[in-house]
Amino acid sequence: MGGSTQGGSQGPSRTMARLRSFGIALVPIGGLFLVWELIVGMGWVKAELLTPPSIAIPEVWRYFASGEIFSHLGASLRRGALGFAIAAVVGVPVGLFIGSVRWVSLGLSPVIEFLRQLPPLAMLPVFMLFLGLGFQAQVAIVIWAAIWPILLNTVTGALGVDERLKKAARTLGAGRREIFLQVALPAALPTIMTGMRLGASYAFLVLVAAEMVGADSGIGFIILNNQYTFKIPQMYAAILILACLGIALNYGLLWLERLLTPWRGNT
Amino acid sequence: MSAVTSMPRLSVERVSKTFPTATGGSFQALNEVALDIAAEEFVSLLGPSGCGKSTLLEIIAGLQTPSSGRVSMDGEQILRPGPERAVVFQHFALFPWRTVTGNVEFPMEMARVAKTERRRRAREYLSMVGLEDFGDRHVWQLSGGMQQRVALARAMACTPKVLLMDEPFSGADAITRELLQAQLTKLHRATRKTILFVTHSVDEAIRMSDRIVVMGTRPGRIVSIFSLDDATREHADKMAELRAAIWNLLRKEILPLGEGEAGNEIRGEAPST
Ligand SMILES: Nc1ncnc2c1ncn2[C@@H]1O[C@H](COP(=O)(O)OP(=O)(O)O)[C@@H](O)[C@H]1O
Ligand SMILES: [Mg+2]
Repeated sequence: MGGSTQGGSQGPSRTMARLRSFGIALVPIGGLFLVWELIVGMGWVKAELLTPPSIAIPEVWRYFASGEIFSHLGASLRRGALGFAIAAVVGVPVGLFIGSVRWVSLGLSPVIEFLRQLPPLAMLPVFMLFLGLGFQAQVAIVIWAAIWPILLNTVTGALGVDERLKKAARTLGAGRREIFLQVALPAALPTIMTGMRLGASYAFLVLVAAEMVGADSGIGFIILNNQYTFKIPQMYAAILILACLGIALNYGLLWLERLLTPWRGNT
Repeated sequence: MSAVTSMPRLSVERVSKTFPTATGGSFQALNEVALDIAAEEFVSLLGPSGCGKSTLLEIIAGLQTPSSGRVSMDGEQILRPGPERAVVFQHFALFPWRTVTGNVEFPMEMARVAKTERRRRAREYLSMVGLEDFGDRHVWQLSGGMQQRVALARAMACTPKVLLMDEPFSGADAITRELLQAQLTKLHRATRKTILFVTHSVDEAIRMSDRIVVMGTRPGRIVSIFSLDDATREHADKMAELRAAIWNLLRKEILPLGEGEAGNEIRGEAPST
């Protein structure tokens, strides 16, 4: 009756699998850099317009070595993290509430759906109008971009909570509050996490654009500023840094998702 | 005095239940069901699909209210669910975000049992179903039979007076099913809890029950009640007789519905009488 134990050998083999998939992912990226280098090296595109990686990558190094990049990274992260955190802290509880009360969700879902369809950048002039150029407007646009997918996914998650689990919880002595915190919230968590990842990627996108329009610091700002001042290698270096930031963000959130919802995809 | 001592643990008094239908009419799922269950009894509800077994069980659990009639436990009307009537569902209804131990601890958390005490008792209930070594596992790492045993341990953690079980073993394969049945019989002997067990397997009902309540359909109602004990279970010919009697009743209930699909609902070999 004991059943089979699969727990023991899972750890190391899973790490190996991750390492392998990471290694495999490096091959096409290496290929991409090779093609990029080749395009310029063969003279198909002028080096003044497209800095080859052999020059851009050392520029990345220089950005870090001189410490110049850190204030910009810090500025971007501050805006992004604050805006995203506010979106999550507001979006998740509100979404859970909307999704738990059926008539509220029936009434509000079309509104959320409509606002979500609006490209977030379209709202940037509105925020600048109200909040001026600067930190507040940038945080506001990040909140706006991140909150809709978070809200919508949380509502979907709350609506999709298995009624049978709620029923079981009632027979086990759970009251309304306990059902909300101990059943609805964890049951909706996988869907909420999907919303968080989507929200983060929207926020990232919008933040960079907002920094190009109305900021004097941040990764978005230096990319555009380098272009204005014809520091093309530095511009490509900043773009590379931005790409790495995006990848790190995505992996970080995936990791968090696995940590918080280890049962996902296994039920 | 004697009236008090003989008070049934569970009392179902002329319970009817109608559901509204999509077309605006109404559908009668239960019609005037009456049943008393004594404190240490193991009672099976046996009947074809759709005869209202789950509905009756959920009414006793307090998850649904009867349209008319009344259910009570130890003389007190049942109005809402409570841990003194633990339910084991066919689909387990375990919480996938909790470990095995976490699931068993859930009702104790709701009852505000202190943490160390919870841990100790969770282990105790898990060893009752032979899963003491699996406490740290996630639910999805266990087989269906093991998950059902976790659900049973979790129900026991409510320290219930009554166990309500809705086709708990119907998803298990034949061997697992036998083991689960043996385990439940043992648990009943050891704890003497009242058990109401819904099944649509004649053999399963015969194997474990003190009484078998045969239900019929359209509308859902009690057709007949059979009593049996371990002495009867020893007698092969008496058992064959009982089985034949139950099958005859069920056949009458099922045949009007058409031979095919409904007939397959009842598991086990029909005796050729
Ligand atoms: N909430 C409900 N609304 C409408 N009809 C229901 C509802 N629950 C059960 N029924 C109907 O009542 C009958 C009895 O259902 P159920 O108690 O689940 O039967 P059983 O468990 O014996 O298979 C079925 O015909 C079913 O379709
Ligand atoms: Mg049923």
